[in-house]
Amino acid sequence: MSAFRALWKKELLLEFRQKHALAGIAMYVLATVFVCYLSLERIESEQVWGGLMWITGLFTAFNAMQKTFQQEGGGTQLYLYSLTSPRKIMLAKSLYNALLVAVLNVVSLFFFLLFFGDEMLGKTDFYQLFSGLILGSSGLGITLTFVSGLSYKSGAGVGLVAILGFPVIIPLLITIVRFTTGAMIGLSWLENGLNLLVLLILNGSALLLSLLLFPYLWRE
Amino acid sequence: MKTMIKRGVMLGVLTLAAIPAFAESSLEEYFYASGKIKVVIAVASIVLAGLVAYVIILDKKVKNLEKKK
Amino acid sequence: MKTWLKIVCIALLAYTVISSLWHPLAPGGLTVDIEKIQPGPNTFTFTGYNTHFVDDKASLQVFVASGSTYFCAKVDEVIDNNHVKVTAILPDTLPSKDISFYSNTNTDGTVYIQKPIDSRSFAFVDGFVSSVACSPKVTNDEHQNFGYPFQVIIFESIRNLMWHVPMWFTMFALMLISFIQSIKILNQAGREAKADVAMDFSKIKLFDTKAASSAGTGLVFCILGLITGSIWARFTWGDWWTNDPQLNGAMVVFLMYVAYFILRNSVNDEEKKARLAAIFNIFAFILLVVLLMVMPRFAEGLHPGKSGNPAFSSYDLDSSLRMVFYPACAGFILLGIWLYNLNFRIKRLEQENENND
Repeated sequence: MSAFRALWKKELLLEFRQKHALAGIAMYVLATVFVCYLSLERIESEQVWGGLMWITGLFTAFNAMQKTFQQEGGGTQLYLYSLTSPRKIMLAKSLYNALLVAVLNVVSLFFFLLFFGDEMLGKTDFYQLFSGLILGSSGLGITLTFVSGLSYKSGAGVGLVAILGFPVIIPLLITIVRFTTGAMIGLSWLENGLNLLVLLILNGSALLLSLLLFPYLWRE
Repeated sequence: MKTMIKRGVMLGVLTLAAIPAFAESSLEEYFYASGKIKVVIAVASIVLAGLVAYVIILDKKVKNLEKKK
Repeated sequence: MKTWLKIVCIALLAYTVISSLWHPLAPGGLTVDIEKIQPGPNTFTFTGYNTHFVDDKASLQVFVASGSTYFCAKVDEVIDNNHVKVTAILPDTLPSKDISFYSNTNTDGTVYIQKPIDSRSFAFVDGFVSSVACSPKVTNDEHQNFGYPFQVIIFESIRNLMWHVPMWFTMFALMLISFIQSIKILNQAGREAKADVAMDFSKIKLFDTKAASSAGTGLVFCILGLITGSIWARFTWGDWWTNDPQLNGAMVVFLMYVAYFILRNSVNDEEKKARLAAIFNIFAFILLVVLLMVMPRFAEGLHPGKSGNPAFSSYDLDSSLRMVFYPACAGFILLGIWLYNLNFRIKRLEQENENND
């Protein structure tokens, strides 16, 4: 458990030591939402709102995840792997990245409210909206951490993250857009439950697979 | 060579231009005739053509191997 | 691959090709040329498909049904095997606004047409029993001849079941082989690391070649499935691409396996390539199962077996289809394995050649 906490602390420290990177991502979110505003001015359907929000979320997550392995360099990793098991490292990294994406998505939701107003949120079930936000973000974080680890190890650069990541992430994206739209229309938990179930399945299988496969990935 | 490319481009453009006119009514008329049996023929021939194309690709690889030996 | 399996494969495929095109479609009702029914005589032409109105003129009956009450129509003229002109005399009141048309012959059994008919001007009486109602001989849909089930909108294109669906079964079988080989790669890599022996790449490379060649052949079947599916969708649902979970899932599967090959090509080190590709392959296969088998059950779609498509409901149960569909799947899967085997052997030879150079 202490190893886990130390790993978290390491991730946080790394993040805050590179303040320009974090600021860069925040600016990216702001710019994306602003471009959405300039091109649409107002959103008149829940589906468009949900779709735009998660496309923004997807690209933000891609941007934030690309450097997750790159930034530490080979030496740090070798050192870490001599200290703890690779599964713990992966778990800490996945959960940390899930949280990071969730925070970024909350920021993006704030910007959406700022630019587009809250006229579409009249019927929204906010508990559902936020649980969707958390589950979608964690799915993005976990899957993309794994994919970026894979592409880091392949040594082919960051371009591969997008190529490998996009097909893998599409099912999650479809489901989360559907769930968010449902939450905004004002569906009950029962009516929206199937989407929630699929989200949980996708999250669970992504976490399970990345924990299962990561030990084979890091070995040189 | 150049004229061939030009001709190819022209042919492509003309075919593309002809599609919308053809697509709306004649395509459906053609395929809906006699109980949509033509859809089956199209699908079956695509499957066979695809498999044959794949076999040809494999054949080419074998030929390359033979050449090297 | 064993020779007898190849013979079985060819026999099954020959059987599929012949019987998927040979057997006729079961008789069915197409249209009636009447928009509005009225009390008194109504004259209309009943159009059937693959029916035998002329051949079985003696037993031909046409009737109009309102709910479960039948009104016999008098046959005016049998135009040909598929067209018959009739007159039905209807009373002033009908028990139900649910109107359908039936024809009945001994050869075809009963075929029916459900058509929205304007009957607003009719008085509506509950529990109506009419003196003009007749009790026709209604045989059930069992027809004597072997035939594929007649379904409105789909018609003859039901035969595509034997061409389009086996593509996906074959793809699944090949991806499963690829998945198993990938697990073997990771297993072998793990064992070698634990035993701390000198690494022997030959086994890993063998598994990797198997995984790559079966995924490659699977991708060919995936492409064929996508193209044939798109054509069938165009002439059944009206669009080249519809927002159906299974369709979208198939596209994602295609993209995933293309990404698998891109990943393979971007790594130079042989051992690392095998390991990374195996990891991605396992991830992709689990997602494939989720996409094509789990998610379509949760979402509404147009494919059979789920909500929103009553026309296909009798689909999987029909024995005439099953008799050809299962052999078709087996035949195409065997063909897929055969092609994968060829692909694998070619790749092995290429590797040997490279080593010799």
